[in-house]
Amino acid sequence: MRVTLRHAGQPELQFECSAGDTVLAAARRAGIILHVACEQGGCGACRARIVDGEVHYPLPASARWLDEGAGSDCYALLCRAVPISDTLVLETAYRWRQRESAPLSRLMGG
Amino acid sequence: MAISRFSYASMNVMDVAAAVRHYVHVVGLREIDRDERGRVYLQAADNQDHHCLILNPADSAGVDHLGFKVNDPADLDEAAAAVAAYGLPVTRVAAGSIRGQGDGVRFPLPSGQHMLLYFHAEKIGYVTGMENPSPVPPQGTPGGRVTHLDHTLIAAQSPQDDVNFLTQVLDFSLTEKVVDPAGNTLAAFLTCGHTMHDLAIGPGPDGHFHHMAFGMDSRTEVIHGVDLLKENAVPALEYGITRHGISGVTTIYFHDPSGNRNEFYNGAYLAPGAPGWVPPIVWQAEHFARGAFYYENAVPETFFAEVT
Repeated sequence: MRVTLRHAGQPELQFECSAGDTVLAAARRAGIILHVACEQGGCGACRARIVDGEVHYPLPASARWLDEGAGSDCYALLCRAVPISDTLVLETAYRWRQRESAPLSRLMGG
Repeated sequence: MAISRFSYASMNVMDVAAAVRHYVHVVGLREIDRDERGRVYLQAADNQDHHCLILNPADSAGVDHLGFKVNDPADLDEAAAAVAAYGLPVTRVAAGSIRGQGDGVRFPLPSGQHMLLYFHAEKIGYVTGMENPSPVPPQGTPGGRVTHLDHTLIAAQSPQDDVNFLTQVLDFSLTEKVVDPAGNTLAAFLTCGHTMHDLAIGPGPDGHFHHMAFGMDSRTEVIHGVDLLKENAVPALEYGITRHGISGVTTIYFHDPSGNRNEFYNGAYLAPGAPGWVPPIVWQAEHFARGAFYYENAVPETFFAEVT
């Protein structure tokens, strides 16, 4: 499955996500550092708008962050969202970073 | 009106079993009771009342309501009348509908989070017992060495509206506030007891919960708590162990398994005095970074945005 990240002011980014992996786990494997906090589906730090595609939640995600202020939009919590469509396009609330840009992370992350 | 203290938080969690494990084995509370609605009641070591935390099974994280004790049963009628006169809807909560506590009066703050006032609490005693106790809990008591639930911080789009209500109607005192150049309140710290905050209001979306803080006896215990967080791989804020400029406490923030934020902390100063007679400390917004995180002199971009 292919995940596309969008955020105003950043070039679009794509990475592969294995079946059953969360977007966060797949991003980390691809060297992408997403903005997260609780990593447990509660705090909303990783909330992103789903532009295209579908996700599901094997572990709980706080319904209020999926619903609140969503209107006709659809939101996901990336720490727990698992893609179930071949393509998933997300617009994140915060900038992401790439691990390659940090020398120490490159040494440690391989 | 005499609200004596912040006494419990009723929290919504998406996985009750995981939450109980966290609050017992990481935070260090005692499981006291469970009810037919699946709610679990917990208490800290140094409090005799039935609970300082209720965990409610829910599909969202966040706060259901915040419990405050009053000094006299008659305060409940007085509070209900005063709150209704202020224009906020009041509901009565029957004794026993929340385990271990008597009649209550429930209402929303201007920012939407609910408060519940009550007088009677069933007594379960200190963790060390009520007869010829040892001064310390038994070795092997799980979790952090927290003594009590101390304070909570909630989010508000207009913190000043909550400050007005809490000081004018419920006789809270403002101990510290953060103001922007125009004088608007960005954050406020209020007390109804002896220490500098029982309830704090920060900038953020109405109705949301920022954190609840568990008090510890010393900075050493906070360090022990951080070791526990690391051993249990509990997600924590990127800052901390650190110190707040506001209140001066030693602190670390972390998350429960539903993302509700907790704090281990030590060292709040005493702020006794008649309501309104202890002038607040004022922080200008340009100094807020030092007030929030004294060592780092910076506030993470999302510190106030991450709420449940």
